[in-house]
Formats: sequence, C-alpha cells, structure tokens
Amino acid sequence: MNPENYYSDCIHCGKAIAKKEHAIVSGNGAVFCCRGCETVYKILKKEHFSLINKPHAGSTEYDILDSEAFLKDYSVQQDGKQGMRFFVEGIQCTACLWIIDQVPHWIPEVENVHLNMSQNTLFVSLKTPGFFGKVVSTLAALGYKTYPIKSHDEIKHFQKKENHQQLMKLGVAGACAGSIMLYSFSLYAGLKGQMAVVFQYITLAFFLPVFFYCAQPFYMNLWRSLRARRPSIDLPIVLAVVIGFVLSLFNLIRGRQDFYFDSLSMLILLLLASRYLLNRTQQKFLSSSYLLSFFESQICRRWNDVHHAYEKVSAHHLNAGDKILVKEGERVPADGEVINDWVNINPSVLTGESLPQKLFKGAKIYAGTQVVSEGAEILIEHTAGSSRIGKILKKVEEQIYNKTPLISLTDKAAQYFTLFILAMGIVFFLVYSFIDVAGAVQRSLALIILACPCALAFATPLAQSLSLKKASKKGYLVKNAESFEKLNKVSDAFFDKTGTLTQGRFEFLRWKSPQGNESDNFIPDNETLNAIYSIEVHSQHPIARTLVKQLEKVCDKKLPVHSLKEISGWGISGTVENNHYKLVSAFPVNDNGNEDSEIISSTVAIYRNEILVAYACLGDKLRDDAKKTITELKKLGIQSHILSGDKDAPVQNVAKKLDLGNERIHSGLFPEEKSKIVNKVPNSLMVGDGVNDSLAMSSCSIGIAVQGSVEASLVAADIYSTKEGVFPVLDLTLLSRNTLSIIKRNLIISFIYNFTGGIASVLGYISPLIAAILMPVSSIIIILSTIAGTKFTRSFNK
Amino acid sequence: MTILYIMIPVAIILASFFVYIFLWAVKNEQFDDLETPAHKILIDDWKRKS
Repeated sequence: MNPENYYSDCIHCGKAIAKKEHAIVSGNGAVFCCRGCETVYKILKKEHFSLINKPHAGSTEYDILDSEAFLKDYSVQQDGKQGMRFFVEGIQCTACLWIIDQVPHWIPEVENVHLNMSQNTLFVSLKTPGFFGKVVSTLAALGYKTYPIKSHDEIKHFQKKENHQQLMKLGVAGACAGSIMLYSFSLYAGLKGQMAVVFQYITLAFFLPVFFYCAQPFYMNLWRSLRARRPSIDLPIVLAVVIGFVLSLFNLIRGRQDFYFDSLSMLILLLLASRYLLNRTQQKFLSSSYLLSFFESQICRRWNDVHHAYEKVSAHHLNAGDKILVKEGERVPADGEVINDWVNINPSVLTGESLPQKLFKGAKIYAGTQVVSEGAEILIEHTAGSSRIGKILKKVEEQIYNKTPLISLTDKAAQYFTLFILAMGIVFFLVYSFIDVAGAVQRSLALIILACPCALAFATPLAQSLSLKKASKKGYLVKNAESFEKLNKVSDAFFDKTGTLTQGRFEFLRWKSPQGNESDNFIPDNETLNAIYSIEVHSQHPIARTLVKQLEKVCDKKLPVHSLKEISGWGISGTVENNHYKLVSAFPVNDNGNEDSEIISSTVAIYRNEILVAYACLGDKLRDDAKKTITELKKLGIQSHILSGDKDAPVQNVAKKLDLGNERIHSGLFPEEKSKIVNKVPNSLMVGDGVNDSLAMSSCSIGIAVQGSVEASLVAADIYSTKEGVFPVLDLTLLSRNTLSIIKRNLIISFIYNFTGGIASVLGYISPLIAAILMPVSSIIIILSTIAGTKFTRSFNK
Repeated sequence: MTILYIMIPVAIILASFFVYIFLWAVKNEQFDDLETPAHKILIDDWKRKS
C-alpha cells in the first residue's frame, strides 16, 4: 500500500484510512473510519453507554421539525402514520446501518427507520407524532448530519411508481427481446417452411408489447423535446423504431425475409437499461429540496410583555419590533439591532470574514450570523423573508430556476448524426433508384435502421451513470449527469477563502519569541501563561476568548488580578503577582511562512513589566490539500481565483501561500459582487461553503459545495462533496474529463462501426445472420469500453 | 419437429410466468434499495442473543 495514502486501519472494521484528517480518533487513542464504527466499538466495549443516553437529555435545537408549519411541508403520510425522509451525511459502512437501525430501540415512539444506502436517505415513521426532532438530535449526537427532504420533492423524485414503471418496462423489454432473439436466430440459421412462418409471427407477437408498452418513454420524450424545439437524441431512436416496425410488418405480410424485430427490441432494451441506471444514480432530490426553510422555520425565543418571559415561537411568526433572545451557538433568525451592551458574533456565513466581531448596543445584526458570546437580545427590524440573507436566498432560487439547460454533447452529436444518416439514405435512394426502385426503398431504410446511433443513445447514459456511481462511492453527490460535461469546460475556478481553502475556524495557532524569528516550539514559561490566562478570563473580546480556550488546557489556577484595564481596540493590562502584564494587539509579526499552513490574522504582543516576552498568533489554517489542488488544476489548464468577503491582508496571505498572483484575488466582496465577478467568466466553477457563496454558485456554470456547507449553498451547488477539503474539486475534474473522453471514444467507435457496417450491408456484403451477430457484438464492445474506461480512471491519470 | 408445437407454448407460458414474478417483485419494492440489504445480512440478530 502506498504509504502516502495510508494512515491507519479502523480499529473496528479494519478499513484502511488514507489520511489522518479523515480518521476519528477517540479519547483513548483508538482510530476509526467513521462515527458508526466508533459508536459500535464503544457500545461493544461497554465504555460509552452515555453516548446513547446523551440524546435523551433532549436538545431543543431540532424541535422545529415537529412544528406544524414544518410538518406541513415535510411530512409524508403512510398507512395513517407520519413519516419524514431525511438526507443523511456520513454513511460509510455496515456499522452506520446498524447504529441507525437501533434508533427505534432508543426512542420508543419511532415505529420504523429505513436507511437507503445507495441514496443516503433515511425514512422515519412515528407511532406518535412529535418526535422527529428527537430522532434528528439523536443522529446528530451520534455524528450524522441530517437534512429533512421536502415532501413535495419527495413526491417528485422518489416517486416509486414512476421508478417501478421504468423497471417494469425494462423487465418486459428484456423478456421479449430475449425471446425474439431465440426465434429469429433459428430463422437466420435457415429455418424454412411452415414453421418459419409460425416463428415470424411469434417474433411479431413478442415485439408488440415492446413497441407499444416499453418504448413509450421515447415517444413521450420526443414529443416533449419537439414542443420545446430542442434537438434530442430521441428523434433518431423513434425514427428507427417506427420505420423499422412498419417496414418489418410490411415485409412479414408480403412474405419477405427482412425483419428487424430482434435488433429493434434489443436496442430498446439497452436504452431502457442505461437510462434506468442513470436515473438511479443521479442525486436529483438534492437540487430542489429547499433545505433552507430549515433556517426559516427555526424556533426562537420572543419576549412576551404580558408574561414577562421569553416564549418559544417559530421564526415564521416573528414581526418587526419583536424582542428576541439568541443563545450562544445559535443563529440569528432575522435582521435587527443589538440591545445588549455588547455581543460577539461570527459573521462568516454572510461575509466570509474569519475573525469574530464584537458588536455594541445599537449595532445592526444580520440574520444568519452566529452568536458566540453568552446570549444576545435583539430588536427585530426585518423578518427572515425580507432580511438580507432572505433576499440572497430568494435570488439564488430565481437563478437556479432560470439557469439555461445545457445542450449536451450527445444531443448535438445526435442532431448531426440524424441529418447525416438521412442525407445518406436519400443520396443512396436516388442513386439506387436508377437500378431498382423497390430495392432502393428497402435498402435505404435498412441503412437508416442499421446505422441507428446506438452508442450515442445508450453508451452515453451508461458512461455517465457509471461515473456518477463512482463519484458517489467517493462521497461526491452529483445532482445531474450534465454537471460532468459542464465541469469539463471549466476554464476558471473561483474559491471562497474562509471554510473552503481554509479550515474556517478562528483559533490559537502558536507562540512566537519576542525576536519574531522562526525558532520553533517557543512557549512562554508557565508563570507567564498563567498570568495571561488570569487576565484574559476577564475579557470578552473574541481574541481573549480564543486565548482562554487554548490556555484552559494548560493552566489550572486562576490568579487574582489587580488594576485590570481593558481598552477597546488596544488590549488589556493588569497586575498578577506583582508583575505588570500588558496584552496588546500588534501587527502580524513578519511572517515568512514558507512551510506551514497557518494564516495568521491577529497577533497579540505580551509585555511583562514593559518588556516584550512573547507573541501569540491567532488565525485560521489553510487546508492541507489546498495548495496541491490549485497547482494540479493549473496543470489541467484551469486558473484558480480567490473570492472572499474577508479583509485584504488575510486573503493576500492565503494567496501568497498558494502562489496566486494579485490579479487573481478579490477581497472584501459582498455576495452580490462575488456573483458579478463569476458572471464575467463564461465557463466558471465556484467552490464555496457559505450563504455568501451561494449566489455566485447559482450564477456560475457549475457550483461545488464543500463539506460542512450551510444548507443554502447545498441547494445552490450542482455537486456536493461530503469529503473534507478542496481536493474533491480536482478529483471531480479528472473524473469529468475521463467521462467525456469515454463518451467521445464510444461515439467514434460506434460511428466507424455503423458506417462501415451500414455501407457493407446496403451493398449486400453482409448476410442477415452475420448482421444479427454483429449488432450485439458492437453493443458489447461499447459496453466493455465504457466499463473499462470508468474502472481504470486513476491508473490513466496518475 | 412437431414437438415444437408443444414446446413453444410451454416456453411462452414459462416466460410470461417469470415476467409476472418480476412485475410482482417490482411492485413489492424489492428493487428499491439494492445496497442496504447487502449490508444488513452482516448484522447479527440482537434480540435472539439476549
């Protein structure tokens, strides 16, 4: 095994883990591949029963799931019982399935859970209503992120009936085509006489259900595309099937030998099979599930003047002028004004800024920002719908709706192919009609049927579905197959900074010695650390909070502090054990940062008795795979850009580490501006994670949402990666190039094959028996080429 | 060759029988999820043990 791609084995299931970041390391040092393994292992070892019991403590975060407004949109009735479908992130192996299957044991009100591992969806039905929130919080406690799926989308995309219809057509087509093959083979082999006539009529009888029942989807698709005036691959198919049927029927009645029932039924079978496969692998439900109403229907605490207490209401019912309380870690549900003296917020969802902000009384606070201090009281000015985030989300929705559909390569090829074949047929007819008019009709129609673009029609969906399957195995959820084609054309990739290229957390990075040089592992002495801890505990500044969080691990005692003084925008000072300490924000120390991934955005200078003793560096970390991804993308001819809402300095810092020139970075952008920049480039790719990226994601030609994205960007993106980091962008690009090259190769093979075969057969060089053998052989060659092509992507690219 | 007059109807009846079984299985949602049951078989019955 490649040591670079190997970290450890999962202690529970033994699966190899490629990277340290993907592994879950538990308290006692055991390494797991997923949360499921961890939980099962712990349950088996009986060391973590609290894990199961934890959810019963009851987190109220998901209570909205049981609110009436939410149920109206999301619940499904089944046999008189309430059910809801969820999209579950992080399903890996049997352990996950086992864990989720245990849910009814833990929550007795749950009647049944059904996890579908191929779609990553979970169906939950309840005995008594009102427990969806509990299920989701249980799953969240176990480490699975769960999103509810809207019921009308479920009706649209999980419509079992439609799926069943497709499968039934496929089954009938298979049975009929197989039987037709059997009977026509003996005809080709030279069966004569009365029995031959019987056999001919049996093939006709088997073809009728294929023609009238199984082929229905093609007629409907053709009708739809004709009405929309779009070229469609269904035109040559229907043409071939109808002409072939009429001609064969005509020949049968006249007692002639040329039938095409066998090849036509085989064609329909292959087409149905490949389309069914493609349909199954697309993750369509993600595209239209408006996961964002999860945010809109959040439960929040509104001040009630009568009762003089906060009461819980759904965010739907908030009005301008209401006073609400938002607790630590929760998101603000509406735009408003801060009532508290101060509040710390994390605005990264909206602005992409990495540093937590301190807002004072009267400052504007936007919906979607996260409160990181103890609690905020807010006076609402604009409710969810008319808030800034609400407007952005509305625009995203509009843009998704208005996105022009891609006229795919195969549709274009089909257009040319059909015209070409028809022209060939006419030319041949004109030439041959001088010799024999009846024979000319016969042979030119045979040409059209034989040259039916079977590779075009079935190899393309097959290649797409195999690639989609491969992508979903790797943890990329692709909403539709077209994304691959779009991804292939991309010339410019735009990356969001916070949370996409970087980890998106504001945290303590390291200490630096007063000289500011790169002496590694410099740590101030314990006395100083304790003093810093004791002083910073008293401050509410985001930097102080981060420092305290770091020092909590090492410092155990809080020392008394005298003459404490905090000046906003400058720092804090105080006397601990007769030493006077001063902690002031400083300019980032000269950071030659050649090797590490740290993005220092704030530096605190620590003075003891007016002597500089240390610097504390705080900031964000670059993702490990960011640099590699960007250099590899460049090799593929894709230019990378950074679009960030953050300030210039940290963006510059990131760009320098990624070797991106100044002209490729844009900082301090609002969501609308991001979208404008992306729009200027025709084939653009946007990679992001926040609401501030969602507008750009929906307006560019293809959007990828990285792991940990908010619901809004999940809706806006075409592809969602459940793997950490930005490496998926590269991986997907390679996959899409591979897919397209397979499609092109198939087109070329089938074109040559059909062309030479067609010519040879109209000239009479190929006997019907050989043609009957060659037809499936050509299909098999194309299927093999497709399967081999998708199987061995990696070995070709590496 | 006259045996074919019996064999063909038998073949057709057999084929329609299999088609019928297949349609029944589809309607019974046997093909809706092809991945999960493969994993489920690995899970021991928890109740029988205790």
